Amino acid sequence: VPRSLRSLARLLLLIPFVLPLVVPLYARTHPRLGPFPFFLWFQFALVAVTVLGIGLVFLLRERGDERPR
Amino acid sequence: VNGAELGVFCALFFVITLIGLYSSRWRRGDLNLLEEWGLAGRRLGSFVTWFLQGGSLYTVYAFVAVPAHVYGAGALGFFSIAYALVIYPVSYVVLPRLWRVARDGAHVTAADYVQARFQSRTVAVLVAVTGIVATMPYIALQVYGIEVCVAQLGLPVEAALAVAFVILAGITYVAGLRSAALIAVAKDVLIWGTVIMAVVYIPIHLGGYGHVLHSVPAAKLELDSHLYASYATLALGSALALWLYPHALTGTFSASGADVIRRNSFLLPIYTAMLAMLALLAYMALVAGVQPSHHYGANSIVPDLFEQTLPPALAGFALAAIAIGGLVPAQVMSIAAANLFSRNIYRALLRPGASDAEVTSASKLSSLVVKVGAVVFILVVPATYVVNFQLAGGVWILQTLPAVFLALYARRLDRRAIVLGWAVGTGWGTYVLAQTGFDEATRSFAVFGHESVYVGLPAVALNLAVVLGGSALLRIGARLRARY
Repeated sequence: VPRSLRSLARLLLLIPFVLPLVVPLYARTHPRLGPFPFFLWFQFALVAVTVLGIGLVFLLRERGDERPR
Repeated sequence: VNGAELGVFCALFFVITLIGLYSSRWRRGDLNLLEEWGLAGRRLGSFVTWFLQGGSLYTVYAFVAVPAHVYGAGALGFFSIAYALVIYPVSYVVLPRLWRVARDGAHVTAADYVQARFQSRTVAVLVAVTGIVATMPYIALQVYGIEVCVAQLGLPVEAALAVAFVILAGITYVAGLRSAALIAVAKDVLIWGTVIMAVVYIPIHLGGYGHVLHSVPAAKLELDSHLYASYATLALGSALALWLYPHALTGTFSASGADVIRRNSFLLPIYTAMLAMLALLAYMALVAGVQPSHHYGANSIVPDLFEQTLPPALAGFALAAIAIGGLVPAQVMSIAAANLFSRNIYRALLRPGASDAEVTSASKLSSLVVKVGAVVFILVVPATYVVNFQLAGGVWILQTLPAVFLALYARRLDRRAIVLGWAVGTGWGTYVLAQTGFDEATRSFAVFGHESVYVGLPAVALNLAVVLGGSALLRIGARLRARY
Protein backbone atom coordinates (compact mmCIF):
# COMPACT_ATOMS: atom_id res chain seq x y z
CA VAL A 1 0.00 0.00 0.00
CA PRO A 2 1.48 3.39 -0.97
CA ARG A 3 2.40 5.58 1.97
CA SER A 4 0.22 8.48 0.81
CA LEU A 5 -2.87 6.28 0.63
CA ARG A 6 -2.11 4.93 4.09
CA SER A 7 -1.88 8.34 5.70
CA LEU A 8 -4.99 9.45 3.84
CA ALA A 9 -6.81 6.42 5.20
CA ARG A 10 -5.72 7.25 8.73
CA LEU A 11 -7.78 10.43 8.46
CA LEU A 12 -10.80 8.12 8.57
CA LEU A 13 -10.08 7.78 12.30
CA LEU A 14 -11.21 11.38 12.66
CA ILE A 15 -14.77 10.55 11.61
CA PRO A 16 -15.76 8.57 14.73
CA PHE A 17 -13.71 10.91 16.91
CA VAL A 18 -15.12 14.22 15.67
CA LEU A 19 -18.62 13.66 14.27
CA PRO A 20 -20.23 12.31 17.48
CA LEU A 21 -18.98 15.45 19.26
CA VAL A 22 -20.46 17.95 16.77
CA VAL A 23 -23.88 17.64 18.35
CA PRO A 24 -25.67 20.52 16.51
CA LEU A 25 -24.97 18.62 13.29
CA TYR A 26 -27.38 15.84 14.19
CA ALA A 27 -29.58 17.09 17.03
CA ARG A 28 -32.60 17.42 14.74
CA THR A 29 -35.72 15.45 13.91
CA HIS A 30 -35.70 15.68 10.12
CA PRO A 31 -35.01 13.99 7.78
CA ARG A 32 -36.56 10.94 9.39
CA LEU A 33 -35.71 7.40 8.40
CA GLY A 34 -39.01 5.60 8.64
CA PRO A 35 -40.23 6.37 12.16
CA PHE A 36 -36.72 7.18 13.45
CA PRO A 37 -35.79 10.85 13.98
CA PHE A 38 -32.49 12.00 12.47
CA PHE A 39 -30.91 12.26 15.94
CA LEU A 40 -31.30 8.52 16.43
CA TRP A 41 -30.64 7.08 13.00
CA PHE A 42 -27.63 9.32 12.38
CA GLN A 43 -25.91 7.92 15.48
CA PHE A 44 -26.92 4.36 14.59
CA ALA A 45 -25.48 4.93 11.11
CA LEU A 46 -22.28 6.28 12.68
CA VAL A 47 -21.81 2.89 14.32
CA ALA A 48 -21.63 1.27 10.88
CA VAL A 49 -19.37 4.05 9.59
CA THR A 50 -17.03 3.53 12.56
CA VAL A 51 -16.77 -0.21 11.92
CA LEU A 52 -16.06 0.32 8.22
CA GLY A 53 -13.77 3.34 8.65
CA ILE A 54 -11.50 1.92 11.32
CA GLY A 55 -11.66 -1.44 9.53
CA LEU A 56 -10.28 0.17 6.38
CA VAL A 57 -7.49 1.88 8.33
CA PHE A 58 -6.65 -1.52 9.78
CA LEU A 59 -6.53 -3.23 6.39
CA LEU A 60 -4.18 -0.56 5.03
CA ARG A 61 -2.00 -0.43 8.18
CA GLU A 62 1.75 -0.67 8.25
CA ARG A 63 2.66 -4.20 9.23
CA GLY A 64 5.68 -5.40 11.08
CA ASP A 65 5.22 -4.49 14.73
CA GLU A 66 3.90 -7.96 15.46
CA ARG A 67 7.36 -9.31 16.18
CA PRO A 68 7.21 -12.32 18.47
CA ARG A 69 8.65 -12.20 21.96
CA VAL B 1 -42.41 -15.80 41.44
CA ASN B 2 -43.11 -17.56 38.16
CA GLY B 3 -41.83 -21.16 37.96
CA ALA B 4 -40.78 -21.18 34.29
CA GLU B 5 -39.08 -17.81 34.59
CA LEU B 6 -37.16 -18.80 37.71
CA GLY B 7 -36.29 -22.23 36.31
CA VAL B 8 -34.69 -20.79 33.17
CA PHE B 9 -32.86 -18.15 35.23
CA CYS B 10 -31.34 -20.70 37.63
CA ALA B 11 -30.47 -23.16 34.86
CA LEU B 12 -28.50 -20.50 33.00
CA PHE B 13 -26.62 -19.50 36.17
CA PHE B 14 -25.75 -23.17 36.68
CA VAL B 15 -24.34 -23.47 33.14
CA ILE B 16 -22.24 -20.35 33.67
CA THR B 17 -20.88 -21.83 36.91
CA LEU B 18 -19.83 -25.01 35.09
CA ILE B 19 -18.05 -22.98 32.41
CA GLY B 20 -16.24 -21.00 35.09
CA LEU B 21 -15.13 -24.17 36.86
CA TYR B 22 -13.83 -25.64 33.60
CA SER B 23 -11.90 -22.47 32.69
CA SER B 24 -8.88 -23.13 34.94
CA ARG B 25 -8.01 -26.03 32.62
CA TRP B 26 -8.44 -23.98 29.46
CA ARG B 27 -5.08 -23.15 27.81
CA ARG B 28 -3.38 -24.44 30.92
CA GLY B 29 -0.76 -22.22 32.51
CA ASP B 30 0.93 -21.91 35.90
CA LEU B 31 -1.76 -20.05 37.83
CA ASN B 32 0.77 -19.14 40.53
CA LEU B 33 2.17 -16.55 38.14
CA LEU B 34 0.39 -13.21 37.99
CA GLU B 35 0.75 -12.97 34.20
CA GLU B 36 -1.14 -16.28 33.98
CA TRP B 37 -3.79 -15.68 36.66
CA GLY B 38 -4.30 -11.97 36.02
CA LEU B 39 -3.66 -11.68 32.26
CA ALA B 40 -4.38 -15.24 31.06
CA GLY B 41 -0.76 -15.47 29.93
CA ARG B 42 -1.13 -12.60 27.41
CA ARG B 43 -2.36 -15.19 24.95
CA LEU B 44 -5.90 -14.08 24.16
CA GLY B 45 -6.53 -13.79 20.43
CA SER B 46 -8.90 -11.48 18.57
CA PHE B 47 -11.94 -13.70 19.04
CA VAL B 48 -11.79 -14.14 22.82
CA THR B 49 -10.58 -10.56 23.33
CA TRP B 50 -13.66 -9.30 21.49
CA PHE B 51 -15.91 -11.12 23.92
CA LEU B 52 -13.84 -10.26 26.98
CA GLN B 53 -13.56 -6.55 26.18
CA GLY B 54 -17.14 -6.32 24.97
CA GLY B 55 -18.27 -8.16 28.09
CA SER B 56 -16.36 -6.00 30.51
CA LEU B 57 -16.68 -2.54 28.92
CA TYR B 58 -20.42 -2.76 28.25
CA THR B 59 -21.37 -3.51 31.82
CA VAL B 60 -24.64 -4.54 33.39
CA TYR B 61 -24.79 -1.06 34.82
CA ALA B 62 -24.85 0.31 31.25
CA PHE B 63 -27.63 -2.12 30.37
CA VAL B 64 -29.66 -0.88 33.30
CA ALA B 65 -28.64 2.76 33.64
CA VAL B 66 -28.56 3.87 29.98
CA PRO B 67 -32.23 2.98 29.39
CA ALA B 68 -33.02 4.47 32.81
CA HIS B 69 -31.29 7.70 31.77
CA VAL B 70 -33.18 7.87 28.46
CA TYR B 71 -36.45 7.04 30.28
CA GLY B 72 -35.89 9.91 32.70
CA ALA B 73 -33.89 12.52 30.81
CA GLY B 74 -34.80 11.69 27.21
CA ALA B 75 -32.37 12.33 24.37
CA LEU B 76 -29.48 13.35 26.65
CA GLY B 77 -29.24 9.68 27.68
CA PHE B 78 -28.02 8.87 24.17
CA PHE B 79 -24.68 10.53 24.87
CA SER B 80 -23.54 7.01 25.78
CA ILE B 81 -23.78 6.09 22.10
CA ALA B 82 -21.59 9.03 21.06
CA TYR B 83 -19.18 8.08 23.85
CA ALA B 84 -19.11 4.44 22.77
CA LEU B 85 -17.99 5.58 19.29
CA VAL B 86 -15.34 8.11 20.31
CA ILE B 87 -13.52 5.45 22.37
CA TYR B 88 -12.54 3.45 19.28
CA PRO B 89 -10.32 5.82 17.33
CA VAL B 90 -8.67 6.46 20.70
CA SER B 91 -8.10 2.75 21.33
CA TYR B 92 -6.82 2.22 17.76
CA VAL B 93 -4.16 4.88 18.16
CA VAL B 94 -3.13 4.70 21.81
CA LEU B 95 -3.58 1.14 23.04
CA PRO B 96 -1.30 -0.79 20.63
CA ARG B 97 1.55 1.43 21.76
CA LEU B 98 0.76 0.86 25.43
CA TRP B 99 0.35 -2.87 24.83
CA ARG B 100 3.82 -3.09 23.28
CA VAL B 101 5.47 -1.19 26.12
CA ALA B 102 3.66 -3.41 28.65
CA ARG B 103 4.63 -6.62 26.87
CA ASP B 104 8.27 -5.60 26.53
CA GLY B 105 8.47 -4.51 30.17
CA ALA B 106 6.35 -7.42 31.52
CA HIS B 107 3.98 -4.87 33.02
CA VAL B 108 0.70 -6.19 34.40
CA THR B 109 -0.85 -2.84 35.42
CA ALA B 110 -0.76 0.76 34.24
CA ALA B 111 1.08 1.65 37.46
CA ASP B 112 3.83 -0.87 36.54
CA TYR B 113 4.36 1.06 33.33
CA VAL B 114 4.32 4.40 35.14
CA GLN B 115 6.90 3.13 37.66
CA ALA B 116 9.22 2.07 34.85
CA ARG B 117 8.63 5.23 32.84
CA PHE B 118 9.13 7.78 35.63
CA GLN B 119 11.20 5.79 38.13
CA SER B 120 8.91 7.27 40.74
CA ARG B 121 7.10 5.27 43.36
CA THR B 122 4.95 8.29 44.19
CA VAL B 123 3.53 8.53 40.67
CA ALA B 124 3.02 4.76 40.46
CA VAL B 125 1.22 4.63 43.81
CA LEU B 126 -0.98 7.59 42.84
CA VAL B 127 -1.99 5.81 39.63
CA ALA B 128 -2.62 2.56 41.53
CA VAL B 129 -4.68 4.17 44.29
CA THR B 130 -6.70 6.22 41.80
CA GLY B 131 -7.39 3.06 39.81
CA ILE B 132 -8.54 1.11 42.84
CA VAL B 133 -10.69 3.92 44.22
CA ALA B 134 -12.36 4.50 40.83
CA THR B 135 -12.98 0.78 40.34
CA MET B 136 -14.54 -0.02 43.73
CA PRO B 137 -17.87 1.80 43.20
CA TYR B 138 -17.94 0.50 39.63
CA ILE B 139 -17.87 -3.09 40.91
CA ALA B 140 -20.57 -2.21 43.41
CA LEU B 141 -22.73 -0.97 40.53
CA GLN B 142 -22.39 -4.34 38.81
CA VAL B 143 -23.74 -5.91 41.98
CA TYR B 144 -26.52 -3.34 41.89
CA GLY B 145 -27.44 -4.23 38.29
CA ILE B 146 -27.63 -7.89 39.25
CA GLU B 147 -29.70 -6.96 42.30
CA VAL B 148 -32.26 -5.16 40.12
CA CYS B 149 -32.74 -8.32 38.01
CA VAL B 150 -32.91 -10.63 41.01
CA ALA B 151 -35.46 -8.38 42.69
CA GLN B 152 -37.58 -8.39 39.52
CA LEU B 153 -37.73 -12.18 39.75
CA GLY B 154 -39.03 -11.84 43.29
CA LEU B 155 -36.08 -13.66 44.85
CA PRO B 156 -34.78 -12.68 48.31
CA VAL B 157 -32.16 -10.15 47.26
CA GLU B 158 -29.50 -10.54 49.98
CA ALA B 159 -29.43 -14.34 49.80
CA ALA B 160 -29.39 -14.46 45.99
CA LEU B 161 -26.56 -11.93 45.73
CA ALA B 162 -24.57 -13.74 48.40
CA VAL B 163 -24.87 -17.08 46.54
CA ALA B 164 -24.01 -15.51 43.18
CA PHE B 165 -20.94 -13.75 44.53
CA VAL B 166 -19.62 -16.64 46.59
CA ILE B 167 -19.64 -18.74 43.41
CA LEU B 168 -18.17 -15.93 41.34
CA ALA B 169 -15.45 -15.15 43.87
CA GLY B 170 -14.47 -18.81 44.09
CA ILE B 171 -14.22 -19.20 40.33
CA THR B 172 -12.18 -16.01 39.99
CA TYR B 173 -9.89 -17.01 42.84
CA VAL B 174 -9.05 -20.29 41.16
CA ALA B 175 -8.99 -19.46 37.45
CA GLY B 176 -8.43 -15.69 37.27
CA LEU B 177 -8.91 -13.89 33.97
CA ARG B 178 -9.38 -17.18 32.08
CA SER B 179 -12.75 -17.66 33.77
CA ALA B 180 -13.85 -14.14 32.87
CA ALA B 181 -12.86 -14.72 29.24
CA LEU B 182 -14.81 -17.96 28.89
CA ILE B 183 -17.85 -16.72 30.81
CA ALA B 184 -17.79 -13.64 28.58
CA VAL B 185 -18.24 -15.80 25.48
CA ALA B 186 -21.21 -17.64 26.99
CA LYS B 187 -22.71 -14.49 28.41
CA ASP B 188 -22.65 -12.77 25.06
CA VAL B 189 -24.62 -15.51 23.38
CA LEU B 190 -27.30 -14.83 26.00
CA ILE B 191 -27.17 -11.06 25.85
CA TRP B 192 -27.20 -10.81 22.04
CA GLY B 193 -30.07 -13.27 21.97
CA THR B 194 -31.94 -11.15 24.49
CA VAL B 195 -31.38 -7.81 22.82
CA ILE B 196 -32.28 -9.01 19.34
CA MET B 197 -35.35 -10.76 20.69
CA ALA B 198 -36.34 -7.63 22.60
CA VAL B 199 -36.02 -5.16 19.72
CA VAL B 200 -37.96 -7.46 17.39
CA TYR B 201 -40.61 -8.94 19.66
CA ILE B 202 -41.48 -6.07 21.99
CA PRO B 203 -42.22 -3.43 19.29
CA ILE B 204 -44.50 -5.92 17.51
CA HIS B 205 -46.25 -6.47 20.83
CA LEU B 206 -46.61 -2.69 21.22
CA GLY B 207 -47.83 -1.99 17.67
CA GLY B 208 -44.59 -1.34 15.75
CA TYR B 209 -41.75 1.16 15.91
CA GLY B 210 -43.83 3.82 14.19
CA HIS B 211 -46.42 3.64 16.91
CA VAL B 212 -43.81 3.53 19.70
CA LEU B 213 -41.85 6.55 18.46
CA HIS B 214 -44.94 8.59 17.74
CA SER B 215 -46.35 7.90 21.20
CA VAL B 216 -43.20 9.09 22.98
CA PRO B 217 -43.49 12.75 24.00
CA ALA B 218 -41.40 14.98 21.68
CA ALA B 219 -39.52 16.33 24.70
CA LYS B 220 -38.02 12.85 25.27
CA LEU B 221 -36.93 12.45 21.65
CA GLU B 222 -35.33 15.83 20.97
CA LEU B 223 -32.17 17.20 22.48
CA ASP B 224 -32.62 20.72 23.76
CA SER B 225 -29.99 23.09 22.38
CA HIS B 226 -28.78 24.13 25.84
CA LEU B 227 -27.72 20.50 26.38
CA TYR B 228 -25.42 20.26 23.34
CA ALA B 229 -22.33 21.12 25.36
CA SER B 230 -23.25 18.63 28.09
CA TYR B 231 -23.81 15.93 25.49
CA ALA B 232 -20.50 16.48 23.72
CA THR B 233 -18.36 16.95 26.83
CA LEU B 234 -19.90 13.95 28.60
CA ALA B 235 -19.14 11.85 25.53
CA LEU B 236 -15.57 13.11 25.13
CA GLY B 237 -14.68 13.10 28.82
CA SER B 238 -16.05 9.61 29.41
CA ALA B 239 -14.31 8.38 26.28
CA LEU B 240 -10.91 9.68 27.40
CA ALA B 241 -11.47 8.13 30.85
CA LEU B 242 -12.54 4.69 29.68
CA TRP B 243 -9.18 3.26 28.60
CA LEU B 244 -7.56 4.48 31.81
CA TYR B 245 -9.81 2.24 33.92
CA PRO B 246 -7.87 -0.74 35.25
CA HIS B 247 -10.35 -3.28 33.86
CA ALA B 248 -10.08 -1.81 30.35
CA LEU B 249 -6.29 -2.07 30.51
CA THR B 250 -6.38 -5.63 31.87
CA GLY B 251 -8.35 -6.62 28.78
CA THR B 252 -5.83 -4.77 26.64
CA PHE B 253 -2.70 -6.23 28.23
CA SER B 254 -4.05 -9.79 28.00
CA ALA B 255 -4.24 -9.56 24.20
CA SER B 256 -1.73 -11.68 22.30
CA GLY B 257 -0.67 -8.89 19.94
CA ALA B 258 -1.02 -5.24 18.98
CA ASP B 259 -3.09 -6.22 15.96
CA VAL B 260 -5.60 -7.94 18.25
CA ILE B 261 -6.25 -4.52 19.78
CA ARG B 262 -6.44 -2.78 16.40
CA ARG B 263 -8.81 -5.41 15.05
CA ASN B 264 -11.03 -5.03 18.10
CA SER B 265 -11.09 -1.27 17.66
CA PHE B 266 -13.35 -1.79 14.68
CA LEU B 267 -15.12 -4.94 15.80
CA LEU B 268 -16.06 -3.76 19.30
CA PRO B 269 -18.28 -0.89 18.01
CA ILE B 270 -20.74 -3.67 17.13
CA TYR B 271 -21.51 -3.64 20.85
CA THR B 272 -22.34 0.05 20.54
CA ALA B 273 -25.17 -1.00 18.23
CA MET B 274 -26.37 -3.26 21.03
CA LEU B 275 -26.21 -0.38 23.50
CA ALA B 276 -28.26 1.74 21.10
CA MET B 277 -30.91 -0.99 20.89
CA LEU B 278 -31.01 -1.17 24.69
CA ALA B 279 -31.46 2.59 24.87
CA LEU B 280 -34.45 2.24 22.54
CA LEU B 281 -36.02 -0.10 25.09
CA ALA B 282 -36.53 2.99 27.26
CA TYR B 283 -39.00 4.39 24.69
CA MET B 284 -40.77 1.04 24.56
CA ALA B 285 -41.04 1.07 28.35
CA LEU B 286 -42.53 4.56 28.23
CA VAL B 287 -45.13 3.48 25.71
CA ALA B 288 -45.88 0.19 27.48
CA GLY B 289 -46.63 2.22 30.59
CA VAL B 290 -43.85 0.70 32.69
CA GLN B 291 -43.45 2.70 35.89
CA PRO B 292 -40.26 3.26 37.90
CA SER B 293 -40.15 0.96 40.92
CA HIS B 294 -40.21 2.08 44.50
CA HIS B 295 -36.76 0.67 45.31
CA TYR B 296 -34.80 1.05 42.09
CA GLY B 297 -36.44 4.00 40.36
CA ALA B 298 -36.07 3.98 36.57
CA ASN B 299 -33.29 1.37 36.83
CA SER B 300 -35.89 -1.36 36.94
CA ILE B 301 -37.72 -0.36 33.74
CA VAL B 302 -35.93 -2.80 31.39
CA PRO B 303 -36.32 -5.87 33.65
CA ASP B 304 -39.91 -4.79 34.24
CA LEU B 305 -40.52 -4.34 30.50
CA PHE B 306 -39.19 -7.86 29.86
CA GLU B 307 -41.46 -9.33 32.48
CA GLN B 308 -44.53 -7.45 31.25
CA THR B 309 -44.15 -8.15 27.55
CA LEU B 310 -42.24 -11.45 27.14
CA PRO B 311 -43.53 -14.97 27.87
CA PRO B 312 -42.23 -16.16 31.31
CA ALA B 313 -39.51 -18.51 30.02
CA LEU B 314 -38.12 -15.82 27.71
CA ALA B 315 -38.31 -13.23 30.47
CA GLY B 316 -36.26 -15.55 32.68
CA PHE B 317 -33.74 -15.92 29.86
CA ALA B 318 -33.53 -12.15 29.40
CA LEU B 319 -33.17 -11.40 33.10
CA ALA B 320 -30.47 -14.06 33.44
CA ALA B 321 -28.63 -12.60 30.44
CA ILE B 322 -28.55 -9.16 32.01
CA ALA B 323 -27.62 -10.44 35.46
CA ILE B 324 -24.85 -12.65 34.08
CA GLY B 325 -23.77 -9.55 32.15
CA GLY B 326 -22.73 -8.15 35.51
CA LEU B 327 -20.51 -11.08 36.42
CA VAL B 328 -17.85 -10.58 33.75
CA PRO B 329 -17.18 -6.88 34.46
CA ALA B 330 -17.22 -7.59 38.20
CA GLN B 331 -14.60 -10.30 37.64
CA VAL B 332 -12.33 -8.28 35.39
CA MET B 333 -12.62 -5.19 37.60
CA SER B 334 -11.82 -7.13 40.75
CA ILE B 335 -8.83 -8.81 39.07
CA ALA B 336 -7.57 -5.45 37.81
CA ALA B 337 -7.94 -3.76 41.19
CA ALA B 338 -6.34 -6.76 42.89
CA ASN B 339 -3.33 -6.64 40.55
CA LEU B 340 -2.87 -2.94 41.28
CA PHE B 341 -2.94 -3.67 44.98
CA SER B 342 -0.62 -6.67 44.95
CA ARG B 343 2.03 -5.26 42.61
CA ASN B 344 1.96 -1.53 43.17
CA ILE B 345 1.03 -1.26 46.83
CA TYR B 346 1.77 -4.61 48.49
CA ARG B 347 5.09 -5.30 46.78
CA ALA B 348 6.07 -1.69 46.17
CA LEU B 349 5.36 -0.39 49.68
CA LEU B 350 4.50 -3.12 52.18
CA ARG B 351 6.65 -6.15 51.27
CA PRO B 352 9.41 -5.07 48.89
CA GLY B 353 11.01 -8.53 48.78
CA ALA B 354 7.81 -10.47 48.04
CA SER B 355 8.22 -13.39 45.61
CA ASP B 356 6.10 -13.71 42.46
CA ALA B 357 4.05 -16.48 44.04
CA GLU B 358 3.39 -14.33 47.11
CA VAL B 359 2.27 -11.40 44.94
CA THR B 360 -0.08 -13.70 43.05
CA SER B 361 -1.62 -14.97 46.31
CA ALA B 362 -2.03 -11.39 47.45
CA SER B 363 -3.84 -10.67 44.18
CA LYS B 364 -6.13 -13.68 44.49
CA LEU B 365 -6.99 -12.82 48.08
CA SER B 366 -7.62 -9.16 47.38
CA SER B 367 -9.88 -10.07 44.44
CA LEU B 368 -12.01 -11.90 47.03
CA VAL B 369 -11.96 -8.98 49.42
CA VAL B 370 -12.90 -6.53 46.68
CA LYS B 371 -15.94 -8.58 45.63
CA VAL B 372 -17.18 -9.19 49.16
CA GLY B 373 -16.66 -5.48 49.83
CA ALA B 374 -18.73 -4.58 46.77
CA VAL B 375 -21.67 -6.74 47.86
CA VAL B 376 -21.58 -5.38 51.42
CA PHE B 377 -21.21 -1.87 50.04
CA ILE B 378 -24.31 -2.11 47.85
CA LEU B 379 -26.40 -3.73 50.56
CA VAL B 380 -25.43 -1.19 53.23
CA VAL B 381 -24.90 2.12 51.44
CA PRO B 382 -27.82 3.77 49.57
CA ALA B 383 -27.44 3.18 45.82
CA THR B 384 -27.49 6.90 45.01
CA TYR B 385 -24.26 7.33 47.00
CA VAL B 386 -22.64 4.54 45.01
CA VAL B 387 -23.75 6.14 41.74
CA ASN B 388 -22.32 9.48 42.85
CA PHE B 389 -19.11 7.83 44.00
CA GLN B 390 -18.74 6.15 40.61
CA LEU B 391 -19.35 9.47 38.89
CA ALA B 392 -16.55 11.04 40.91
CA GLY B 393 -14.44 7.97 40.07
CA GLY B 394 -14.69 8.88 36.39
CA VAL B 395 -13.35 12.37 37.07
CA TRP B 396 -10.54 10.91 39.21
CA ILE B 397 -9.41 8.21 36.78
CA LEU B 398 -9.24 10.85 34.04
CA GLN B 399 -6.51 12.57 36.06
CA THR B 400 -4.13 9.67 35.35
CA LEU B 401 -4.19 10.55 31.65
CA PRO B 402 -0.88 12.49 31.64
CA ALA B 403 0.98 9.77 33.56
CA VAL B 404 -0.31 6.89 31.44
CA PHE B 405 -1.23 8.15 27.94
CA LEU B 406 0.64 11.40 27.51
CA ALA B 407 3.79 9.69 28.77
CA LEU B 408 3.62 7.37 25.75
CA TYR B 409 4.07 10.34 23.42
CA ALA B 410 5.74 13.17 25.30
CA ARG B 411 9.26 12.33 26.35
CA ARG B 412 10.22 15.26 28.51
CA LEU B 413 7.68 15.03 31.26
CA ASP B 414 8.82 15.74 34.79
CA ARG B 415 7.51 13.41 37.48
CA ARG B 416 7.09 16.32 39.91
CA ALA B 417 4.88 18.10 37.37
CA ILE B 418 2.87 14.88 36.91
CA VAL B 419 2.22 14.69 40.65
CA LEU B 420 1.29 18.37 40.85
CA GLY B 421 -1.00 18.14 37.80
CA TRP B 422 -2.72 15.09 39.29
CA ALA B 423 -3.23 16.93 42.57
CA VAL B 424 -4.62 20.05 40.87
CA GLY B 425 -6.97 18.11 38.56
CA THR B 426 -8.20 15.78 41.29
CA GLY B 427 -8.51 18.53 43.87
CA TRP B 428 -10.37 20.94 41.60
CA GLY B 429 -12.63 18.26 40.13
CA THR B 430 -13.53 16.94 43.58
CA TYR B 431 -14.17 20.45 44.87
CA VAL B 432 -16.56 21.25 42.00
CA LEU B 433 -18.40 17.92 42.37
CA ALA B 434 -18.67 18.42 46.13
CA GLN B 435 -20.48 21.72 45.61
CA THR B 436 -23.49 19.79 44.33
CA GLY B 437 -23.05 16.93 46.77
CA PHE B 438 -21.49 14.71 44.05
CA ASP B 439 -24.90 14.65 42.41
CA GLU B 440 -24.22 16.30 39.06
CA ALA B 441 -21.60 15.27 36.50
CA THR B 442 -22.02 18.54 34.59
CA ARG B 443 -21.69 22.12 35.78
CA SER B 444 -22.01 25.47 34.09
CA PHE B 445 -18.97 27.73 34.06
CA ALA B 446 -18.86 31.40 33.10
CA VAL B 447 -15.80 30.83 30.89
CA PHE B 448 -17.77 28.41 28.71
CA GLY B 449 -20.63 30.85 28.20
CA HIS B 450 -22.65 29.33 31.06
CA GLU B 451 -23.22 26.10 29.16
CA SER B 452 -23.12 23.03 31.38
CA VAL B 453 -20.06 20.87 30.70
CA TYR B 454 -18.76 17.60 32.13
CA VAL B 455 -16.57 18.44 35.13
CA GLY B 456 -13.90 15.88 34.23
CA LEU B 457 -12.93 17.70 31.06
CA PRO B 458 -11.86 21.10 32.51
CA ALA B 459 -10.26 19.17 35.39
CA VAL B 460 -8.03 17.17 33.06
CA ALA B 461 -7.34 20.30 30.99
CA LEU B 462 -6.03 22.02 34.14
CA ASN B 463 -4.04 18.90 34.95
CA LEU B 464 -2.47 18.84 31.48
CA ALA B 465 -1.64 22.54 31.63
CA VAL B 466 0.15 22.04 34.95
CA VAL B 467 2.00 18.95 33.68
CA LEU B 468 3.17 20.57 30.45
CA GLY B 469 3.86 24.02 31.93
CA GLY B 470 5.50 22.55 35.02
CA SER B 471 7.70 20.18 33.03
CA ALA B 472 8.86 23.04 30.80
CA LEU B 473 9.59 25.35 33.76
CA LEU B 474 11.48 22.65 35.66
CA ARG B 475 13.54 21.90 32.55
CA ILE B 476 14.43 25.57 32.09
CA GLY B 477 15.24 25.84 35.79
CA ALA B 478 17.56 22.85 35.62
CA ARG B 479 19.31 24.27 32.58
CA LEU B 480 19.84 27.65 34.25
CA ARG B 481 21.18 25.99 37.38
CA ALA B 482 23.60 23.93 35.31
CA ARG B 483 24.89 27.06 33.58
CA TYR B 484 25.39 29.34 36.58
